[in-house]
Amino acid sequence: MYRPPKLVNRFLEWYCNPKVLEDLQGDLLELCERKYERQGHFKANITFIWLVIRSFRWSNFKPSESYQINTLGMYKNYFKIALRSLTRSKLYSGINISGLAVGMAVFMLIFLYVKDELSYDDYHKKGDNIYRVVSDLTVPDNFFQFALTPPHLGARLKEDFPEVQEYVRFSSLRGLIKFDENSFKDEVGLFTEPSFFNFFDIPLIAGDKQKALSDPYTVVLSESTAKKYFGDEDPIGKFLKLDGVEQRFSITGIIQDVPHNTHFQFDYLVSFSTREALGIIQEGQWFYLDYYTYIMLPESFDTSELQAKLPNFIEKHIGDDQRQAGQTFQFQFQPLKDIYLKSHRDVEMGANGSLQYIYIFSLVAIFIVVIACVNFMNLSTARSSKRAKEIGLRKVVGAVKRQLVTQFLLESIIIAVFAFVFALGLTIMVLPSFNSIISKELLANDLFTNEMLLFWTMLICTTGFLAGIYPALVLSGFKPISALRASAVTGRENTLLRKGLVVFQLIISTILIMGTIVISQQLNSMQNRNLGFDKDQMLMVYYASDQEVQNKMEELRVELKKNPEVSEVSFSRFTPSTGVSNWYTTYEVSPGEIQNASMYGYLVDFDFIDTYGLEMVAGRAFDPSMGTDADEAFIVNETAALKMGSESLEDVIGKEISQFGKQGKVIGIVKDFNFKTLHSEIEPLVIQLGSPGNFAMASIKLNAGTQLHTLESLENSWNNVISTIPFDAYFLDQELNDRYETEIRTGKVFGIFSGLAIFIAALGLFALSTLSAEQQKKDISVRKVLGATEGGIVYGFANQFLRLALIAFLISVPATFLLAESWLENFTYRINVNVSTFLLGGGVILLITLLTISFQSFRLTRLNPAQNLRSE
Amino acid sequence: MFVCTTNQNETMKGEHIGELEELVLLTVGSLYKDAYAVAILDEILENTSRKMDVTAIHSVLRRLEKKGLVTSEMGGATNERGGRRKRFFTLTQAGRRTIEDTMELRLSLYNKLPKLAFVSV
Repeated sequence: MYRPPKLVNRFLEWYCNPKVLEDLQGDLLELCERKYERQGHFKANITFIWLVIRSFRWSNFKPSESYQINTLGMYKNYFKIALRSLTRSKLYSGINISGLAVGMAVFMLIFLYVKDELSYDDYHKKGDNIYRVVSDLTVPDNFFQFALTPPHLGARLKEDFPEVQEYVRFSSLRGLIKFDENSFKDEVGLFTEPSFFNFFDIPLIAGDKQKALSDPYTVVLSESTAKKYFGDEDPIGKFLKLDGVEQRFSITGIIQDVPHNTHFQFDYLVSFSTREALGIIQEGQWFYLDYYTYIMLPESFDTSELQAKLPNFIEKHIGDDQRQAGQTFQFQFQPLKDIYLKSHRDVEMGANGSLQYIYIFSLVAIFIVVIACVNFMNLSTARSSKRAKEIGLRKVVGAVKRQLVTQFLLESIIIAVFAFVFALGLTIMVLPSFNSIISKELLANDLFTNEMLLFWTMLICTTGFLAGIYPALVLSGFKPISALRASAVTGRENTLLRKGLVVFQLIISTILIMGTIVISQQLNSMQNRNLGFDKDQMLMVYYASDQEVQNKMEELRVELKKNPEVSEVSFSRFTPSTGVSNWYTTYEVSPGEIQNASMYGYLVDFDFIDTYGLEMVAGRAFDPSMGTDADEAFIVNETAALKMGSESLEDVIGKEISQFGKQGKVIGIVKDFNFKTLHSEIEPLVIQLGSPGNFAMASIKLNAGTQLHTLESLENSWNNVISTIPFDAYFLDQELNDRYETEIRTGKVFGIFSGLAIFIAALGLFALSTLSAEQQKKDISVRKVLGATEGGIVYGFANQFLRLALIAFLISVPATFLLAESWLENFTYRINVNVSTFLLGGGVILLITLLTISFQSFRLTRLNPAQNLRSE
Repeated sequence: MFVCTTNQNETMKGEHIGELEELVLLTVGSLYKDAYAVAILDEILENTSRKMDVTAIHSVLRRLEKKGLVTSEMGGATNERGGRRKRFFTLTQAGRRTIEDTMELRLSLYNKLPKLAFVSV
């Protein structure tokens, strides 16, 4: 009996079409058998190999697997079946679709938000070549990172380095615009020069680029500002007045409104030459930091080259000044596009964004989509028993696994498409309110660009795939014989995985809940923190440097105080709600030894300390009865006193100090108060008496329980004395809260999204409990017949889920702790994550779990055993 | 020639069969019910002393089957050939007619050969 070489034989079986294999193989064997009998094994083998090779031809090959089936027909069928199974169980499809829809809507919102954050300053054609120069200033005992530069840095850089092609400067300007007899407040102005138009792609609508900002006393209005003042009239060539400047300004241009995704904003531009004409800007004022400088470098230039040349540059221009002042400069170059997200220096032009929040939000978006996908996975596998017969039958009539996988994936993609449509509607509906929460102007139109369509298709397919792949593999893996048997698959095999997925959802939800608690606690503690001064019932009026107010200050104070609700009135240069200047300061460390430093300075009147309820810890407050206070008295805060190098605070009293051109002695020490935001620690502060000409803010302290009519009567009092500017007051505590806008906004968004994540997870839990109640009906019926109590049944049922919630809680505690700690590190005045946060978060998640499943567990107690056991 | 002409033309046009195909077709016919690849191979060897490769027979048979000149069906299981069944081929009506047509064509051409040619031999 001849046996062919195994390997060759297997090769034949591998390539040969099964339809011809049998007789072909038989023929070959017959021939070789003959050969074997006559010529032996070896010759027979040679013949066999030869014949197998000769048979290796196209006509004998296996046909490719896509044999002629009507695929279109099958897809039609899949579609039809998908729709049928969707409509058959409306509850589950509803939960699946709405969960996915909410998830996708959140994803879309966050996507729009992140896209907007990333789009800052990306519309400037030369944006890649523009860099902002910023200064690091090292002073004795301190280090500042300013977004500002000295006034002539740009010009010097351009002179010394050929690679600096051009430069432009900004300087901010806050003041009142007057036109006709009306005055308007709170327009944001910028001084800038004609090169502005070469740097930034904000087109001039009217006017000449070259001339618009070249002459002194010219102003360019933004489109909406122009509309506000002039309506439909043509403003070009008209005049307006800026507060504090005698000269009239002529309007030389209209510029398009600054796109919102720009790191600076303005309502009008004033020519830089105005500043020169007013004598504000002078050569050689290297330590006068009030200018934002941008330079244009060649295409793909490496700034480190320029950076390397800076030490010589600094030595050449500022060397002597630096040694004299004991301060040293460093300059850095920031790419224009990085400013918004990456620069967090002192005195930025606006509230910049944060990469960290972008990461957090993107993560939340992905988590929420994943939670929604998990719902789908759970429900589909849990309900697999309902599909078992269909799958069994499909397999029996010849469906291969791949086709079934295709079918179920298609089904989940169809669901994803439905969800997507709902999500789009949902997004468009909630976008306006979302915008108002995050104070942005996101446009729904951005969802429909061409590249977006591709992205959404990908999102649909990815979510469909993510959600559907596991159920598809499980379902298509059913053995037809067990699927078709009467006691069909119950889907219990997958309980472990299903439980794991539920735990995963709950973990994410718990982390989000706890995160929200931590964020809101931190925000609360910042808002309610004792700042060291009285911020409640404090009315602020900013009058810039209006001369009438300055001249009639005392008259105004008396008039305002006539209102019985007013307890104190104070005028000052700065208040805790405004910025504060850092000035060159010298102080006496020990007799005869003078040291210089840079300290913040307040210019105030006699009533300031009382108005703000500042506490004196040593010495005395300013006293009008001491004739010399106005000329030589200084009050410092505790931090400054410590810096002045004394062991006890009392020692500082009487020490010499000078600031802002005044030489004098320390007469008192005020308890530290947060005169800047809580993002930074309290720094040294020097308070001195100023003259009305220095002041710009009026602080009016009211008695508790102010009514609206008080404001009206205050306005009347103001108008009785002041005719130039309106009484435009705001409350200090509100203004202070506005400073934490980024954090408050983040907190809100985070809260909303975690609420939604919990909602989706709860939906899933609800559906799962419904299903598991369905599956346990018989079990419970038997228990009931045997005398189980209602409490016992509820406990037994709820226990399964509560245990999962407990596991989720235990895992999320350390995770939350780590995340919260890393977030809180950003704050100088931070709360500690405490046990109550975790307990509260855990309590919430347990409660939600309990509420979600309670409906089903109580339904189980009312079950009629007779009905459920009848069919057994 | 009593065969319907149109049919004949169609056959002539569409199904030109080659020499080897004709030989195999004839052998299938002559073996009647025992025509499977190895038997055909043996028969051809015996009658024409042509040593052929069985794989060539396979492909010719498959071509003929595709043209509808032969049909095939699997035989019963045996203990020979490692238990593999044989595929038996039989002539179809069309196959039979093709054989007749070619024979007739040959015959008519043969009859036209000038007799003189033989004389000279």
